[in-house]
Amino acid sequence: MAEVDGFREFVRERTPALSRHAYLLTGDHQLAEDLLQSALAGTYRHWRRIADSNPEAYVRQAMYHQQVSWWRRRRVPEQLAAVPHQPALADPAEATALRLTMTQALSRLTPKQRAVIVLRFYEDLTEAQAADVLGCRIGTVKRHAHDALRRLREVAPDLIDSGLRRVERSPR
Amino acid sequence: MTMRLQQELRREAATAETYDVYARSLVTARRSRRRAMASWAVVVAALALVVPLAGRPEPIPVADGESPSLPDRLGLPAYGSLDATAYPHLGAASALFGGFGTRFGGFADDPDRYGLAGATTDRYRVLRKGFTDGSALLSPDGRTVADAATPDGPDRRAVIRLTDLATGRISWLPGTGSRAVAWSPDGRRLAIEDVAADGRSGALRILEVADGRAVALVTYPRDQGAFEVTAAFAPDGRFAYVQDFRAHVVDAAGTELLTFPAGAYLLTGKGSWTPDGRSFAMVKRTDRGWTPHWFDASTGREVPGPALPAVPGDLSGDLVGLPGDALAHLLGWRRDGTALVFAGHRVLGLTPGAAAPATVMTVPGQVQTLDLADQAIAGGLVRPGDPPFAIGPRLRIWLAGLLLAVLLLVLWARHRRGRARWRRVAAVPWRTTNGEIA
Repeated sequence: MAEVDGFREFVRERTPALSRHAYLLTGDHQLAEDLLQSALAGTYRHWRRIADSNPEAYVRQAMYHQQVSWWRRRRVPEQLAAVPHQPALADPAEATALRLTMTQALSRLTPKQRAVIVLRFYEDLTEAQAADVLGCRIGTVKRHAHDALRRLREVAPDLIDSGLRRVERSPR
Repeated sequence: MTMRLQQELRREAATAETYDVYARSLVTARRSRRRAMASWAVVVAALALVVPLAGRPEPIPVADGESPSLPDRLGLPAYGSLDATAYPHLGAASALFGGFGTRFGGFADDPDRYGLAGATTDRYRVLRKGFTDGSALLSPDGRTVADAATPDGPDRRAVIRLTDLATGRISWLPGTGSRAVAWSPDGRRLAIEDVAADGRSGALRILEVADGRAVALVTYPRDQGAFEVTAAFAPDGRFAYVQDFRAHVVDAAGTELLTFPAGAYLLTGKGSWTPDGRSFAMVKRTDRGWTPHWFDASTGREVPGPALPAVPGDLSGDLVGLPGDALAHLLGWRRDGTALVFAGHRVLGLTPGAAAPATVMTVPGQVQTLDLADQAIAGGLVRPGDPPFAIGPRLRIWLAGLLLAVLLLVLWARHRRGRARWRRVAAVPWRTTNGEIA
């Protein structure tokens, strides 16, 4: 398989953004690296077909699909952290505590819930767009978002402010 | 808006390193491609190995050296059974049967096929006859089926068709013929009845199967309410038939040896003659049970016959559509003198001197006509019946094709939906790529 024109440049330019994305999806540097590697490998195999459209969208979609796929979950079992005993406190160390709480709270989510949270609140996609990326129905996205936010609210109440309800009813 | 959640997510993402995975992703891509190619190679090799073997099934040996036998339980042909001429050829059959119901094709009251059970094993086939009247007969060796069918062509009159189960070849006897009446014991001659196109007259002839030479026995008007001709060959080649309330016995050349008034009597099937050829059995068409009366073949007088046990029960209503409105048929004789009678959805073995008949074969209620090969009867062998599953090979192929078509349709729909989805995903304005976050 000879190298394909443009793939190297694409990877060099987009790796930082894609790395952030992978890390946010997995919450673990090694897993994120593995996820990005697999997604790029799949992209490379189809590069000629997708190079002229939107290869980055392809990589991101591949990462989401691999992250939530049964096969990958089977290979890399999720390690859930214990529930924090105390919610984050509003003191000078609040930012640090909140970040730790955030990491622990995200680790409490299932891969699908986590993917929906990242798509909705990091990528700021609509429910319909998130459903297209994940290859599922809008109702499934709503369900996962609802469950994820409820769990986040239980684990880290300070993370979810009162304006959440408007988000849950955001336009499709 | 959950600004805090968004901010924390971005802050979390910012802690990610930039992973240098370019070289390893190429290695992974090449490895997965090699694996995919190897997997396809294995699949192709397996198909190349399996398909030729599956496409060339072992031929079923003709019953040479293996004595034909009767199944103790007859089944109905499966939906989608193989045709009688299909490969692998059946070789020979021990039972040929027809009836009503969906297993016999067509509509419930207008079947278009007969069923066949193999001579030595329970392999079932169907013989398609189209929507013609008449009956089918199995040759004494079980290798050939004679029936009336309509060949393709401008002349739509029925012709006697011979189907060779060993080779799958079909031949047509010259002339016309509306019904096969009886095979001679040596399988060389066939008695047929031919009804004129207008249905007003009929003729009884004996044909030489090899060259189609015919001996005309009788031509008769077919008035309304006339009974069909009943006939049977004697073991020595003589031929008895009852037509228009008279019984006739002719020799192989068609010369009449005896005739006498038969009154209400009819011959009772192809096994009506006793094995010694001295007498033949007739039954009264008004009887509600099966009570044979034996008549001397040289004098026409009623004589004592074999001391067969009585067939119990009232058989009226059990069988309809049998030639001569008979309620039961004497199908033949075993070498030990046991007569086999098809009556009441069973084949009964009537052994002289026995107190009661023994059940040789059970027959499904949908079966109305049954013929057994003389050789299978004579040998007296009975094997455990193994009726076929309801779905036969031809239907299985159709179902597999239908399943494949549905699968392809689903895959095509998924592909279209996936492409449409990909177009929408490609058009997503990723903020982390193009917006302020990137």
